[in-house]
Amino acid sequence: MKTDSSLRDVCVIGTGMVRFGHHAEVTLSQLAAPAVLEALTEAAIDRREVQAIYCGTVFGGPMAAQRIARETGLSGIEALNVENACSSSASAFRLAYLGIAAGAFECAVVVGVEQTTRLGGGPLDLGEEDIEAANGLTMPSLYAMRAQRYMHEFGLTAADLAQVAVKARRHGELNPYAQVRKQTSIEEVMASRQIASPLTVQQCCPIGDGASAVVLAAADSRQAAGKGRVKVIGSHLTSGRYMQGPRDMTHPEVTVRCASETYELCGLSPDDIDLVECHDAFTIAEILYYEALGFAGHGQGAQLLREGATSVGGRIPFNPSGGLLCRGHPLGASGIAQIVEITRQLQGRCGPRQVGQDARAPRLGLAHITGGGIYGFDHAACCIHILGTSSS
Amino acid sequence: MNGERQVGSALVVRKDDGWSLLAARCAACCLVTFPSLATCPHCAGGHFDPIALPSAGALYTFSVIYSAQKGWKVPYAAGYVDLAPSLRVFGRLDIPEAELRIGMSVDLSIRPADEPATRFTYAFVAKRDMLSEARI
Repeated sequence: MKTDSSLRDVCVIGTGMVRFGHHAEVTLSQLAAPAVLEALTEAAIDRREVQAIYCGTVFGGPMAAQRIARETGLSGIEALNVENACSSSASAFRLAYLGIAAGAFECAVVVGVEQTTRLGGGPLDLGEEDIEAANGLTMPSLYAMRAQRYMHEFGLTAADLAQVAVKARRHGELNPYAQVRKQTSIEEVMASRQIASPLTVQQCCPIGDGASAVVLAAADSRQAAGKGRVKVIGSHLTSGRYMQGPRDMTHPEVTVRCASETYELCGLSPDDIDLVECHDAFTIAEILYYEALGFAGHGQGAQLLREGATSVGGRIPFNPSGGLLCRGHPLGASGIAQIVEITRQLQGRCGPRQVGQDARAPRLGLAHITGGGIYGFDHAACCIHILGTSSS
Repeated sequence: MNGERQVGSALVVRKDDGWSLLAARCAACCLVTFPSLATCPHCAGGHFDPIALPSAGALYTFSVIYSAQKGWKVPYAAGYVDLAPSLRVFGRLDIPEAELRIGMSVDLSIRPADEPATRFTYAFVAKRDMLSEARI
């Protein structure tokens, strides 16, 4: 993204979510409808005021946006389907944001949806065309190999890794939208079933179904009048850089680059950010992303966790929602779910998991989602959004 | 017994010092890619020559996988192996878990991908001379 004064300000004026979990019995559009309708109700606009619907899903099949539009009374407008691995709905959000910012339309619905329980369980199928997947690579094992190397280089312990899950569960227990709402202990995490050493099942995001939606509108539009407190401050999307030689797998290339480019484009630094929703699909990921997003030096991420800095009440809360580890990770739904959480946090609506209770209210939140396991890349895609409340 | 064969999605070649993966070397800038691509990622050249990668490398990282896609017999070990001078390759590790160490030397080998052995795949095994050292 190039910061351009000709781009209009865009606000999140409505949010909606379905609690993630097992929802295989309904159709994709039936799963998505309550999230879309909640977002429209919250935005308090007539559906005729919505000019576009963009949908992010990975395995949801063709024309998901049109099927959801039919279900929710939004047909006959610009509809677009976006697949970009785990970053699908964040990418759809970015496109809708750019459409409004550029003046193509005033108001759009962005929805993320996925039914991963229909895929038959176990790790995602990465496709036989990928030479690594064809030789047995799975997403859990990709993160597990990063963990193994990180432990070797920086002395991270199995208990440190487990502590990420313990923290996520503490947050998730407080989130009514989380798929997993039960606390755990370091011992329980370490004793849970092995998935890919050193990662056990409690260190992996659960398989689930879910949907999330937002309504976006131009800040100066009638749709946003009186509700435009949460603005899109920054939006950036990039893809992995092909690397076929020795590379540092403890230093996630696509996130490091996406983060530094996002901060530069917005004129912000990690010091300005009050909360983060990051792509903690596996415990090691959260530690890697503390560092890659600029909140800790390389190799020092676990220290933030040990200090409690990344818990609700700490200096820089990460994943107050419980993150992918607890909220669940229905691929296409996760990007918008992060944006829903940050919007509601900035609006002070999150109850016991609210960030900044005793100090100032949070002003800036960052959503980071990356994904796609294909050979030669750290990840296929990475999308970062920064949302903020106006200083007035 | 020397020569080329296809194993899964890779081409391998057997020479006097063992099995090697067949990669592509850009005719213009000499960058080596595995598998081959239509365009060189470094210089955008479009002409490649086949090149046999070293048969031995060093284990960069690994995992023992207990949950896999359908059709895979679990658990199995897999990891990334650095092949000098410039390639990192993912593959199965036919090495007991207790012997797996980051940095260990490994050799490319051809192994059955199923039982009975109707399909074959490449896998890395502990370097032979390391094993004999370990036995001393």
